[in-house]
Amino acid sequence: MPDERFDVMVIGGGPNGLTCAAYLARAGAKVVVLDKRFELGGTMSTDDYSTPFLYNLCQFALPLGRDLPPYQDLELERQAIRLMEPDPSLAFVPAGGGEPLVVRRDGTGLDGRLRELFDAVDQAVLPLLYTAPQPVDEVEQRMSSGNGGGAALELAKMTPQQLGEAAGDARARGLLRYLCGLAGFFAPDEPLGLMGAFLVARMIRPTIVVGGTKTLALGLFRAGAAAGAQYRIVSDVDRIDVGGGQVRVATRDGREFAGRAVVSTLDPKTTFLDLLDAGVVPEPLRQAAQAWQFEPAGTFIGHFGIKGQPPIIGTEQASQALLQVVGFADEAAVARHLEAVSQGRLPEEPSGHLSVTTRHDPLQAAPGPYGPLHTLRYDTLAPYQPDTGAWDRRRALEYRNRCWDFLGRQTAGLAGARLLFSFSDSPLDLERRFRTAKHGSVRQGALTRGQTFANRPHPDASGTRTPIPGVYLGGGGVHPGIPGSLGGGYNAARAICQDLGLERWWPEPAVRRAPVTAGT
Amino acid sequence: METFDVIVIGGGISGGLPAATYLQKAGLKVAVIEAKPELGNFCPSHETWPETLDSPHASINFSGNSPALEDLELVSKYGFRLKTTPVVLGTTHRDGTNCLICYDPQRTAENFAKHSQRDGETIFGIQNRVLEKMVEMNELAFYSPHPDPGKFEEILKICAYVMGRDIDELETMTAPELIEQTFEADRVRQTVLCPVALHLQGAPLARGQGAFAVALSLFYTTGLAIGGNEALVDAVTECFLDHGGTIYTNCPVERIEVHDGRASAVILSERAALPGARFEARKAVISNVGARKTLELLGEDVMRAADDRLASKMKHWKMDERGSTVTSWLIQGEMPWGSADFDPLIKRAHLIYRAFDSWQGAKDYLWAMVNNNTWAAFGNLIEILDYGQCDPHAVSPDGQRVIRGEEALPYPLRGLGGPEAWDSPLRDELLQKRHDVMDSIAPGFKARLIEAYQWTPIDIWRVNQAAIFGQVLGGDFSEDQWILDRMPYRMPIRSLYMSNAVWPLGLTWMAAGYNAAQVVAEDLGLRNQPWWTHRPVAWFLRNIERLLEPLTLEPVAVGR
Repeated sequence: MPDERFDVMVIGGGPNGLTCAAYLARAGAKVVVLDKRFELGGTMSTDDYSTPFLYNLCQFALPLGRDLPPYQDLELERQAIRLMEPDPSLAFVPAGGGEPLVVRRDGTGLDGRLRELFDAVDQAVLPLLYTAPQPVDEVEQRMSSGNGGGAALELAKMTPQQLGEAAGDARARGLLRYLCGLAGFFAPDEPLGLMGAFLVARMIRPTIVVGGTKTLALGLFRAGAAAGAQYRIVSDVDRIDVGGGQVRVATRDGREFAGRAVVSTLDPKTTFLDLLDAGVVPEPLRQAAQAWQFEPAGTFIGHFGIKGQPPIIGTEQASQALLQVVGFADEAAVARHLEAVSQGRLPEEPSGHLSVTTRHDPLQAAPGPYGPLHTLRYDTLAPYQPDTGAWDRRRALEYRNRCWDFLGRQTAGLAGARLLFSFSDSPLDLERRFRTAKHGSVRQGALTRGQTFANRPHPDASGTRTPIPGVYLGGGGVHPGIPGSLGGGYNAARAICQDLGLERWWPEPAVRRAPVTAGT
Repeated sequence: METFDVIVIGGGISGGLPAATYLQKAGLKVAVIEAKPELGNFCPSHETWPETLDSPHASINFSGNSPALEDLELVSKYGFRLKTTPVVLGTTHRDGTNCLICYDPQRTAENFAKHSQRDGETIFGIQNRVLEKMVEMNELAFYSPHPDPGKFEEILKICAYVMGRDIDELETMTAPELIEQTFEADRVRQTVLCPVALHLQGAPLARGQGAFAVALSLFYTTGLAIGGNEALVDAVTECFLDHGGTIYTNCPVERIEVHDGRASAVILSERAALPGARFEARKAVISNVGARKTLELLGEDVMRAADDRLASKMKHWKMDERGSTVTSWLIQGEMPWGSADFDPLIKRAHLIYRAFDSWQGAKDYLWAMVNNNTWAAFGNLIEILDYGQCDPHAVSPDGQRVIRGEEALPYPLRGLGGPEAWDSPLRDELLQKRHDVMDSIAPGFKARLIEAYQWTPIDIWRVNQAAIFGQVLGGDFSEDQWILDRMPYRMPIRSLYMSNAVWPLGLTWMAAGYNAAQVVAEDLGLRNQPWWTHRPVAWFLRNIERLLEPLTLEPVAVGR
């Protein structure tokens, strides 16, 4: 006998799960969100660890802000969920000196033709996020005949190496190769595809959330709770059973929930191979799940809370950028780093990017007493399984210290600051914290061309519906797969509304109504 | 600009959030305005290390005392889960002994009798009388809006009754004196003193108040929330939102507007996510930010015009008697308690104190605290929590767990560099020495230690604006700031109420917020709600067997 009954059960209280629940609850469904963790928000988690600093544990620079349909539909701005668009957005500070390259949100700093390509891919892909996907060939075909779609495709066909070559300026080449790495494209010769290109394009115009990324997730939660959705934290789901016109979900601590539909926001391997009984998963889906590719490496993130002035990197203007890429002499150095980490080797230096969070949002550190206090986040791409031995606490601590020492050498002024608190997560730590952060990446599987659009995760399931009755996908492992887009949860809500005969109360998203170059 | 019936400044778990939720459920339109990104800022859970749980600040869950569990359907509807262990609290000592106060008086007596047969009999009698008066005392002492002289008299009577003495006698005794007169074994004496000494139920050396505080400290339940304390915040928040409440986070408040002697609006700071926004309060403003900060938000002139004496009291509200210092240790395996052979039940306890080396040491400690002698006080009294005893989610699959320790120490650091020296290498020195203290009561602790974090009083103040000088309970409980002399719930400015710096202390038992809601609801004629009827501790006592059942987890599923 289930402990509780609902219309819809959402597995995972991350951004997608919270989005899905809020939309469905407003449509009148009785919804419950089950999350393994002690809190909601998933990879949009921000924590202060009860220290005077706020640490964005996983997602920080978001690809979308005001364009997010849930931001509009759920009226989050009125709820004091405020977004910021830092400008300049990026800086590449060459190791060993030399003038830094600073890139602004409008692309200033990059080659003119490249900016056009980024704009084109942005305009072409954005409208495709919030709708059921087509096969990728068809998308590309329509785009090739559409107005401006050709430019988008030109970028999508480029490999990281070709993108670097197109950049011209040596620093821009280094920066773009680095951004490809952040997007999960480690190999020099893997074409970015439309989604990969879109992700890179969006890194030039990031959004951050005032009060930390979790504030956005909390806005989604509040909208859902106000509509009657229920939330059960510390609910680690370990099985989904279907049959008899209902779905049942069980947690590791022995509770059972039943409903008409379940939305899994977990990756395809977990959903189809671990949670569902092998007998109910159609063979093609099972094979797709088995063949599903996670990224070869992830991110090591160090969080540092300092008392004193924030460091200067390169120039004052470069120091104002949201993401300050440091430690790479040139594109070749970036390429070596990416190659090393994707092959399980720790790179020679923990080069990466620094964000001084509090330069942009002072609320992310306490105002005092005895300040000034600043929050630094440092990201460096790192192997998921280092060949020198798996990540453990000791190795992670050593690596965090290495990052801190490295930052001290790459910046000016840090020696005068006192380090009050530091935390860090290796790629393995991120995976252990967040059930969706496989291999320490926020994407639940690489965004390579073969794993996007209708192939995310498989043509039978990419529209969030699956062939298994009552089972839906709504996370990063289903189209669109862009972290921070909330698209998976949004699309799942639309499909479930239709299937359960609920009224879809929200309008077509503005990004769909905008003039588009591609077919719909 | 939006208008609400009630605006609550500060969404903390002890006061603001429960007050808001009761009033919203009673039909008012309520907004909670919080400076930090999350509500219950001081009552969080953290996965400081992956797959472990820690609630370093508000750590023990006292919600078992609160009628809110039933009134607000926190368990039955909003998924809150509480667990406890057979031991309410215990102490462990370097000599290999321990003292365990258990929910079952017989079991407490059994443990105390290992120290002294007579003390075993004494505690059995006291604990049974406490159980008899548990609900009544909680209602009178904690879940009533004080000052209330009538109820105050009743509280003193019950204190005397449970200790088996006359009120007149208690009124002339300090805490150590009463304890000496009641128990003969030193370890037992140290144990009974420690909650009074750490939690500041009263100034232990104050005659009268110190003795009553010993009795009052016996009326607590202790437990741990599944998922850590943030689970409690989440459940109350969900209830608040479900009934239509509004939350603004990242919104520091700049000012409380008073017009014609009435608190009428709240204005946000320019730093807020809604910079400079103004919210009008039709019926009430509840301040959960403490005495000093409330004065600042009102403006001293405004407060002086309303009540000059109270304005002075707020300006000089005592906060510096003790600042909290907290350590979270990540260890491999279980706590290696040195006294596990003496009474093995300690291996199942969630709350254990390191409580002095001798009875004389305990008295010296009190004196060191009063005299601001930080190093003399150090290492004597540490509250130690083991989350994994109640919540298997708190222990990682490879057996790592967080042990959390809190020690209150004098804040000023005179002669040691002043308060800012809490940021100096002193903080590391403190941490290293605390490792040694732990190793002395749990041999092998240091060998199991993987990593640790340390919070000083100024870290805590930085985290929690209401915790000036690291004082986390709403102000000192000195003789001039005790039950009848704390901040009033109903302020001399019309429509203005307090839910912090009031009686009783701010904790996860949500008493201050419950009481603030009572006062506002009474003033607005809304107190008679059919759901607002439950008695404190009643749910806990009814469900104790279930709360004691350990929660177990299936192994992680791989492939089906």
